[in-house]
Amino acid sequence: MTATTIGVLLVILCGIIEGIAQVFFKRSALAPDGKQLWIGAGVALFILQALIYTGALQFVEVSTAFPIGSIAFVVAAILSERFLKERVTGTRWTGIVLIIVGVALLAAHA
Amino acid sequence: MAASTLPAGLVFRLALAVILDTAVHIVWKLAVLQLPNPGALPAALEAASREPLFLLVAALFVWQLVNWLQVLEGCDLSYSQPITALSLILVLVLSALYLGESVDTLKVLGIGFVFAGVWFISRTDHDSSARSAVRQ
Repeated sequence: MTATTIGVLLVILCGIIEGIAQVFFKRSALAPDGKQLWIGAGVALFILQALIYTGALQFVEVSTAFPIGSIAFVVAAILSERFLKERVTGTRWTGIVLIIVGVALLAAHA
Repeated sequence: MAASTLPAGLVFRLALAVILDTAVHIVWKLAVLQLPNPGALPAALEAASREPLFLLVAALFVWQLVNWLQVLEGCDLSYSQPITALSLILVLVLSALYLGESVDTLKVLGIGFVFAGVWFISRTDHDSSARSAVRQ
């Protein structure tokens, strides 16, 4: 496994963590009770993501890492549908697929 | 675009989120460039604790978080989060201009796909039933 591959995998992991953290933040906005708990959980995940992302940036360029991290949109969309009851329509899934294609192009390029 | 129907304050906060997102990633990369060679994680973490640029990253992070929580108070997550992908373009341009990173056709094409996907998502109905569902 090359250093670049490690970097790309770390950035993908960061994207997954960010997607989960974003759902926590949205839950804090939706539920006034326990607001601090949701924010605290989201911040804790952000700190974990920050540590991993710092390591990842030693292996890949920021202009490559940042778009790959957009996989967080996919994670957030899936979790929003499941846990926030948001409607994820066909058009929205089209967007998600386009993002995956773009991420794949950038990951292959790295 | 749907964002034009948003209150001016929310449009401002979304724009600020894009700018802060870009700033965090550029400064973060500048900070990482000050660290020792890849692989020496303990040494890198120790060096990071002494690097002022990481303090700036932390400050930007806090500002970004406070602003973002205010965005989420008035916007669906699946609507507002994709809009922050506008910072992809800013990161690409700034990292090429100031960090000397490469920009080629494939990278631009990949970003184009991501951007198109974000555009599709932003065109969907952002008036979901999340608020009422969570309150049940």
